[in-house]
Amino acid sequence: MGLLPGGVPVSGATVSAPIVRTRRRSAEARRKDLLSSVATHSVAIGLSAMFLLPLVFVVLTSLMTQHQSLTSDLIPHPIQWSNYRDIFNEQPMLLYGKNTVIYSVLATVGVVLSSVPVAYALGVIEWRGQRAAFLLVIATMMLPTQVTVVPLYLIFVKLHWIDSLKPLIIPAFFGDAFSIFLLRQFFRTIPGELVDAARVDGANELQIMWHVVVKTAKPAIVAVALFQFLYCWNDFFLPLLYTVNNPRIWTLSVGLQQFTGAHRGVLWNLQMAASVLFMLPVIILFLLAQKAFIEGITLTGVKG
Amino acid sequence: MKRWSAMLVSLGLLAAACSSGGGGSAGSGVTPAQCTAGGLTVASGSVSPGPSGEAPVTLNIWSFYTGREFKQYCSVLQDFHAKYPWISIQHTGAKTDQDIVRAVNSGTAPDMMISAGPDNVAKFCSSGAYKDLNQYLKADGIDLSTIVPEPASRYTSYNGVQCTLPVLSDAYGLYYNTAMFKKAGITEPPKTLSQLETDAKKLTVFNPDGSIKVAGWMPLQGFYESTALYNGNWTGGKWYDDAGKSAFASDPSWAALLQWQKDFITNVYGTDGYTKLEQFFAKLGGPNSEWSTAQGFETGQLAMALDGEWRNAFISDDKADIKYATAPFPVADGQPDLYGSGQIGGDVIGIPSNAKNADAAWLLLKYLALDTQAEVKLATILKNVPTTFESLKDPTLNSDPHFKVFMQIFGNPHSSFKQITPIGDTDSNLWGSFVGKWEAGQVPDLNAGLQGLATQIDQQSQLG
Amino acid sequence: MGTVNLELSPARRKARRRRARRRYLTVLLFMSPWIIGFLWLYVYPMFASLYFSFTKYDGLLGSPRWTGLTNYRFMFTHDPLFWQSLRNTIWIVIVGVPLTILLGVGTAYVLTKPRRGRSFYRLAFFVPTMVPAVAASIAFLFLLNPSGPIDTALRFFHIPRPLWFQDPQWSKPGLVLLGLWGVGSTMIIFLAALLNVPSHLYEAADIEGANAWQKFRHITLPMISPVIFFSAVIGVIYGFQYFTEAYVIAQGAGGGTGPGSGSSLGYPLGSTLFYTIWLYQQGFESFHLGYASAMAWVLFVIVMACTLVLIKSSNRWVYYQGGFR
Repeated sequence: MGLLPGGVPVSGATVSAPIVRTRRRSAEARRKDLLSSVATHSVAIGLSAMFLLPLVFVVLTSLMTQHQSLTSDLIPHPIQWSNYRDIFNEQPMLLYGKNTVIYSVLATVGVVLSSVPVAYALGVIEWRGQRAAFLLVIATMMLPTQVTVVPLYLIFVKLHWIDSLKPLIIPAFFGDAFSIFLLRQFFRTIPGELVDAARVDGANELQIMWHVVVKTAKPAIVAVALFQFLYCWNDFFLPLLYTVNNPRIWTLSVGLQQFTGAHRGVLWNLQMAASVLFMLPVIILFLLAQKAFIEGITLTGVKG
Repeated sequence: MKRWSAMLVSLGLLAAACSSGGGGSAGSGVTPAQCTAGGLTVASGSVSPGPSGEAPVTLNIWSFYTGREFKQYCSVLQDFHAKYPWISIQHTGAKTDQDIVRAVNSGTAPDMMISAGPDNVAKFCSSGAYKDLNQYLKADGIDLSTIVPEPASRYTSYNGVQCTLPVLSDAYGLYYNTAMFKKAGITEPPKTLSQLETDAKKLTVFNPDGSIKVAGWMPLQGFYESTALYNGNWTGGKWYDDAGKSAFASDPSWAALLQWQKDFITNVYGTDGYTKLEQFFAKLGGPNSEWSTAQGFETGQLAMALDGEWRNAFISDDKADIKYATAPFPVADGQPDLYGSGQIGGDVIGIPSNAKNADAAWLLLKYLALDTQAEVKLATILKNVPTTFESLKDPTLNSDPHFKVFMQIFGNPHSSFKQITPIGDTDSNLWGSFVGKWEAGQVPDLNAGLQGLATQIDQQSQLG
Repeated sequence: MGTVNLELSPARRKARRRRARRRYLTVLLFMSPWIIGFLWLYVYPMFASLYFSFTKYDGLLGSPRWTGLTNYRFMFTHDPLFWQSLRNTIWIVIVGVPLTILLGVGTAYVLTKPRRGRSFYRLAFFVPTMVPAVAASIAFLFLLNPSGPIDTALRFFHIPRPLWFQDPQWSKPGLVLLGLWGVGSTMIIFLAALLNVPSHLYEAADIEGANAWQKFRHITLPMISPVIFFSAVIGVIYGFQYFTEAYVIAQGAGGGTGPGSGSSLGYPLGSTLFYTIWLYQQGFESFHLGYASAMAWVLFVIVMACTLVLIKSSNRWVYYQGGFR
């Protein structure tokens, strides 16, 4: 079976037949098509079920009573919608949500604002050492966080930034290697003539960046913003390290994990409700912006 | 999934969340697992000044309490606030010793910390993380030895530095299900480890498929509070010799205890006893079930349990449907003198060295640790053992036969907490890991393993 | 670049230099956020932690005390948990990375076949990636707990039911399952790569009568090998830093806080004690900052070594069409 784009299966049988394409395929070929289609869809449906079932169970359990969530029952009975109200009394979900939003939005703004000029310098302006600098930026992605975390922690202690969101937000304004990489790769696909034409017109680099590059690269910038937002929303290790002593500033990740640890006598139903609320915003964001997300990921992996 | 339905669902949930008054009853951003004494009717910060013109102060205190115990502690803090109305208290629960060390190190320490146990007292005292309370005691003219029993002041100090005070203690003993005892024809609770084994064998019930239905006694060190047996109180084990070196290899009672455990598992639960016990534990709900209504003894799936005095409170609050009694825990066959004693050791309170309101915190600490009324109230509602001589005499506490046993255990001169050193609970953790490996059959040569463990513990002091 | 005038007048040359200087200044200006960040978030901390690794330092209560190679010597000779955490980490990299790539290629391949419903399937495979790591870990704690849905399903099919996160033999496989659940992002990259394979190659192979396996082995694999290489390198670099899921699950399964009990990281029996978890405990729970710094540098060296090995070996198995790199 071939892999032609569009997924049209080409069986060996038709290739050895006359090169002239017959309009009607033989009954045998049609049956083969049907079988392979059924097989494909079965596998795909099976896999989809495996990927989606965990979420289904999470939602189902989030509607159970506490007693039932401790059993092996799969379907909630009775359905306890009030879990979604009670979770707000057990844990300050709105406070955690607010902190997460503040962190995610501000850090995203910071990353976009700082990474665009850097990517521009590395991708549009021709200068000696440009490639070396770009490799250096990429190299920072390979450095394990642990190598820098101890001194950084001490710096933030001295600055009294610990137990606030500052250590998470402020570094975002100094560029992010991954975003720079994505943007630079995209910038380089912008036709050189556009940039040259603007230069000839006497525009300085700043103007070119804004009017030519940014306007054209909107999809890439949106993708970068989405990725950064998602990364911040999911972030756990650094928020844990920097804010664990101050519950008022916990993000949803930290708050939920502490809830799991602190709630002796596991309240599965409420925990699942909290998890659902935690993942819902980003899943919805993804559904609304699917194309941007997927295009963005493709940009990273395929363009070596 | 269509975009529209996604948006509708999310809007619906948001609406539901907003309209049902989320955010806690006080509404002022008070996070649950926090209570504010003096902040419920009067917002902290707008508290009235004291009678001698003391400025209003808000103390920020931490504790390890959660759930029911947390809420009950808050009522005692209310009493303190009534006595000292210019001091309001913000109390955060679910804090561990690691949290307080981190906080002291990053300069964000609270004014007072209530730790669940004395494991890290030596570390707090010797590193200067906590203030030396001797200065406050002297200034107030208090002689600690007349108020607090000696074993308690021993586990709250290190090398002459009294950096914490005891507030309530735990005592560990035997809980047993009297209905099951009657049914099995056992008239007396076991007094030696051999009797424990015999009784456990009689009380254990298996399912038709061979798995455990009711466990006579759970010997795994990671199971609930069975850990306590491996701390050595009932077998006379010493953690450190007189030279301060780890005694796990040199003291023969440890090897004997571990060997006894292996034989116990085989005799009572069969050759695959370890696996069966692991499955039984997982079926109960794992470590998390200890604090829930699914707790094994409360649900009648354990005939006997080694547990602390607080289990009484949990049993009555959870309204567990069992008939039970308490007694001192059995001791090693060769150590009859030890019978009646047990592991003790409890909450310790200290004031971090960089606390912002240390003097006000001392008032609260003094109240909680040394005031008889406060101690008795705490002991009554939390069903822990009080730690002052006066409070131990309280008639109401002594009227509950289940609880009286633990008061007596606390008073027994052989009772103690393990020796504490500046490496804190590292030695407990390493010992616990070792016993866990032994149970799983991963230690082929017991004596060599114990020797390796002792060396490892001694080396940990190098890292400090 | 236009015609080059070989004869440059001094004025022209000066103008050229001025333009070049202005260009460099612009570059400097545009890159300044990153340059400043590079210095204070990377360069300084790297040197500082290298220095700390040769000292005994417990945070603010005291200043660093030079102890030479003590930390390193202790790590390699006196710390069994260092070796256990390293073994656990290597295990998860060796098992997790290839499985992720395999599943990524497999699911991407499945996605190329159907004519209809492709976007639904793609969505289904990809949505789990959007679930935050903490939420996913908590979900799996519940799913794989001994009275959870998976257990029920296995019981229904009469398959032996492991205790998953309560059993030291099964806790890491449980973590691998959790990781594979999020294979969607890897899958998308492979999907794009698969769709980019020029169709004429397949047509030519069909003419020569190649079967599906031969086409896969000799056309598809080489053509997507750069993406496999990319995924492997990323997988190794981030695999060695595995932290969040292990932390959440160990604390959740082991009961977390309890009276007098330390953290339950590594539960059960140290099977989930990964390198970064042990580092975190040493550095931010016991406050052995010098020791933690030493561990961090050892990690760095190991990751670099593995990456270099991968890069070197890539010459043999990674095929770049058209010679671009």
